[in-house]
Amino acid sequence: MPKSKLGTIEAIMLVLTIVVAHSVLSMPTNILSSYKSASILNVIYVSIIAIAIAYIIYRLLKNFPNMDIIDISESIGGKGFKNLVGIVFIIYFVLTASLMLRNFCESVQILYFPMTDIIFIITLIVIAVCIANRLNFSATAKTNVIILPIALIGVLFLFFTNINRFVPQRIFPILGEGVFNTFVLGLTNIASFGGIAYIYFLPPLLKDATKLKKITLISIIATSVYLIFTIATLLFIFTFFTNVSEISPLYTATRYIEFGSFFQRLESVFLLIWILVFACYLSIVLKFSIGIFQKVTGITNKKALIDVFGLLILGIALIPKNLAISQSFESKIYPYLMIAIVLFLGIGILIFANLAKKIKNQNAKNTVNNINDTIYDRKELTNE
Amino acid sequence: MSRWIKNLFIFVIILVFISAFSSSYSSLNIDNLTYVLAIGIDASDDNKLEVSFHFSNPIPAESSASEKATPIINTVTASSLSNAINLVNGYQGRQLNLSHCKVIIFSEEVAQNGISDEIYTLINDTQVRPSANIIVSKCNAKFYMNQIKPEIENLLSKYYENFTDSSKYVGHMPDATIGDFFNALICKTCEPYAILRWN
Repeated sequence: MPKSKLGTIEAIMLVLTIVVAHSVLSMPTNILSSYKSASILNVIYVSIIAIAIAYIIYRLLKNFPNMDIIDISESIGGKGFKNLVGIVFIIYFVLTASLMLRNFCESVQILYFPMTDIIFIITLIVIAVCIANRLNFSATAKTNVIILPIALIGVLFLFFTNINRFVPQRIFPILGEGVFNTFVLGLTNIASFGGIAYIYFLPPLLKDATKLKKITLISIIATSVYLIFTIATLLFIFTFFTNVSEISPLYTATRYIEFGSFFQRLESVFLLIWILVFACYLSIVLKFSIGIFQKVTGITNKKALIDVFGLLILGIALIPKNLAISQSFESKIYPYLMIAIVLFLGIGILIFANLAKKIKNQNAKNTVNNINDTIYDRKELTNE
Repeated sequence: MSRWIKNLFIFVIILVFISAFSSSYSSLNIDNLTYVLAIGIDASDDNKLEVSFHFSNPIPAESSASEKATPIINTVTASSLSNAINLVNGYQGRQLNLSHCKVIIFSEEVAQNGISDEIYTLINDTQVRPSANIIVSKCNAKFYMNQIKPEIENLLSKYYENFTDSSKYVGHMPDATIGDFFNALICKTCEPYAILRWN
């Protein structure tokens, strides 16, 4: 069995990393400012839909064992369609990761490196990620299994240590700005489950492909629980998180943690954990983007592509003139991009491929039946 | 040859990063910072703010532990709190750092005119802790700061940090932090509150 294959826990953590990395940025602020007191209700509602979508994706992928969405695209539309789908997913992964990296580095710069140019902070992370990607992918996956539980425990810690500051009444009015806003417009919040995109590429990477159902469902349920805890912490501490602060809302929440005068300023520890989570997230994105690119182009030398993709991420991250522009991507463009590519395109391809397979099987069955009938008729004629 | 070039390249990259990050390191170095313990905001005659900064004065290592640090208060007049900080940074040898600021005192006159601009400035400053207390002083804020002479506590910073602890066992003084104040300020159904002091 190849070493680069993922175990069940590693695959679950991989999907979770995407959401944890996004939640460190302005994703919770966007949820809270859009749905106000109904944020928790909206997250629960969207979680149920996300679990249903994940299950549908699993059911559709089940008919194509050890095939990812690129292979499936090739089976239905040939090489041209495969290339098109591959390029769309590469753009989605690289663009999202680059602009998220820019947002994250802007926060780090404001907090700890006010005199350092942003280019050096981004370059440092990109270099670290490129070096990590030169190793086997299992190295990233195993590092992820160590770091991500710490980040998850950190969010639970944040929830329970701030519990004395909670004002549970902030959940009211329960429907926030109305049913339409919470349940209809609120559907765009499905973009919080960015990890779904990576499920399409998991089957060929798994040690045991039969565990795909378990991996898909557990990772999405864990994501839901994580998001509920994150949003609840912020909603109960702050009066709707207004856009006054450029810093991550989770970071602001960590500043409230104090244990007397002995344990103070724990936010530094949290930031260190989040930097590691973010590096893992970028490593995963780089791995998947390079994997897709290799499938599309047929290039076998992975090491040459790592630096190219690293430079691509660096270049895109430097495009926005300021934090406001990169944040507007996260709040205004990313949700629609995710819904269009991951949900409509991805599920559309899978449905089409399943239908095509069903028709093909039906045709094959009919052909066999026809042949059998012909043989039977001939036998009868011979007997007569 | 290629190995030599590779090592040289790594060495150059390390040098570039050291020089890039050293500026941030030196700007946040304890030797280049001066810590503000309290900020006092008074109204000025020409519709401006009179902002007083209470600095920590480290006791020299050779002095005895019982020796008290003498307070240093600098006052500037500016149109806003951020301008006042910039003004002080302009003439003081060290950069102002608000990460140990425990108390923000507003004179009653300033408080009556509204303090939301100052609260927004402070809450957006990543150095200011949400646990810093807000005081409204019946007297002049600068006068209030000058009058603080703790008898039991040697360290002024410790006094500022602990004097609201009494809210845990008596009801005379609330624990009115800037974090709670800001939350109540932007909430439509809440009322922000601060500690009222006569001195």
